[in-house]
Amino acid sequence: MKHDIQLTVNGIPRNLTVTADDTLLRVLREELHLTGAKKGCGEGECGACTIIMNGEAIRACLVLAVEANGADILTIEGITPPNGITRVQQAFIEADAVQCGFCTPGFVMALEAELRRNPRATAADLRNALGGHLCRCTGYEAILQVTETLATSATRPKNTKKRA
Amino acid sequence: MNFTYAQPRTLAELLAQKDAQTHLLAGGTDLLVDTRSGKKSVARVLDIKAIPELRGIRAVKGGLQIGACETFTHLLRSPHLQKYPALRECASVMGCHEIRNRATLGGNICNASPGSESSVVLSVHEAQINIASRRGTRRVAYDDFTTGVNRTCLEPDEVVVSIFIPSAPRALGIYRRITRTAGMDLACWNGAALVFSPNTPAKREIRFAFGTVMSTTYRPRAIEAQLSRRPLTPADMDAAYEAICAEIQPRASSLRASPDEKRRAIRNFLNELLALLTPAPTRRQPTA
Repeated sequence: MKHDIQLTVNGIPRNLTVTADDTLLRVLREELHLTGAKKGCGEGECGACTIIMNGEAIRACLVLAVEANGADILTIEGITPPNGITRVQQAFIEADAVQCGFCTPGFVMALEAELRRNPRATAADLRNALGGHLCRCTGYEAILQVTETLATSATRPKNTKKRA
Repeated sequence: MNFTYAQPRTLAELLAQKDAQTHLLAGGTDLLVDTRSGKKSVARVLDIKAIPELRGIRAVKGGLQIGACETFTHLLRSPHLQKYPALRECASVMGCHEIRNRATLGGNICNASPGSESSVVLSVHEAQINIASRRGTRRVAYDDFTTGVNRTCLEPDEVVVSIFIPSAPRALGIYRRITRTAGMDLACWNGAALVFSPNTPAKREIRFAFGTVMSTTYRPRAIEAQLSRRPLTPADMDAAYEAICAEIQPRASSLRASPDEKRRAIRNFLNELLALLTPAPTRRQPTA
C-alpha cells in the first residue's frame, strides 16, 4: 500500500510516496541520496543510522517512513553551518576520532542532538548519549576524548575569553 | 515485511479497528525488529502515536497515571518521577538514548519480555493496567497482565490505555540489573524492591520482584511476608535466598545469563537490601 508523506529534511520540504513497510533510513539513503546515515545492523543495536527527528536522536532503521509524515528531519548532511563545520565535527577532527568512518555520522548526530537540547551537557551526559553506539576500529578512546572536549567547551562561559 | 499501515487519531477510531489481524505500533523498537527477523508476521499496523488519550504523565489520586504511548525519555524528564526512584532508575538504563526516545512504557509491557526493564518495578509498585475495547474498559493488576514469555492477558480487540502506579510515600525503591554491556542491552537479570517504612522494623513492609527467573515476573509474596514487620538479620536473608532458589526456574538455555549467575545476582540483591535496611552500627563488615 502506498502512502504520500510530507516531511522536512535538512530544511527542505519533501513530498514522497512510500510503501507502508519502507524504513525512514532506506528512503533517506536511496530516494533522497543522503547516505551519511548508515545501515549497520538494521535492528537498532549499532547506532550507525542515528539522525535527529523533531529534535530527538533516533534510529532511522527503526522508524517507518510513514511514521515520519510531518516530521522535521536532520541528517549529518544538514547540520553544518554555511562555510564551516560544527563544534562536534571539529572535536572529532582534533581528537583524530575517525578510522574507517562508517560509525562516525551516528556518533556525531548523537552528540549533536544532546548538545542542541542541552548546551551545557557534562562529559557524563555526552557519554550517556553514546551508550548505544558501536565502533569497530577506534577503540573508543579518541571518541571519549571528544566528549571531554565538548563538555569543557560547553561549560566554559562565553565571556571569559582570555585577553592578551 | 509486507503490511498495511493506518494512523487512527482517537481512541474510539483505534478501538473500532482493533482485531486479531492488527498489530499496534508505538515506538516500534521491538515490532519492527521482530517483523524484519520473521519472529512476528504482521498483516496490518496501527500507529497509535497520534492518539491523545494514550498520552500524558499525570499525578492522579493515589498515584501516577502514565499514558501507554509515553516514551522512556518523557518519563525521565517528568518531575513526577522524583517520587518513583525505582521507575526512574529503570527508565534511565532502558535501551540507549535513541531507543528511549522512541520506546514506550505501554509497548514495553505489551511486548512482555521476561527481562523487560519496567516489569519488576511495575510488579513491586502493584501497578494497574487500564485496558479498553469496544466492549468497555477494565483494570488488571500488572502481575496478572503478563501471562508468559511475550504473552499478555489482552484479548484481540483490547488495547492498553494507561498504566496506573500507586504512590509509595517515603518508601525505599531500588532497581538493579546485570547486563553484558553497560550501554545497550536487555537486562540479563533484573530486580526491584519497594520497602514501606524502611526505618521502622515493626511497621516495615518489604516487596521485591525478579525478572528472567520465571516466564513472568517473579514476586515471592510469602517470602516478603516473612521478612516484613520485624528486625532483619543475615540469617533471615539466607533463609529467604534458599526459599527463593527452591521456587525459581531459570532456564539453562537462556540467551542472557546462566542460572548460577541469576542466583548470584539475587544473593547480592538481598545482601544489598539487608545493608540498606540495617542500622549502620550493626551492618555486616566486609571480611578482609
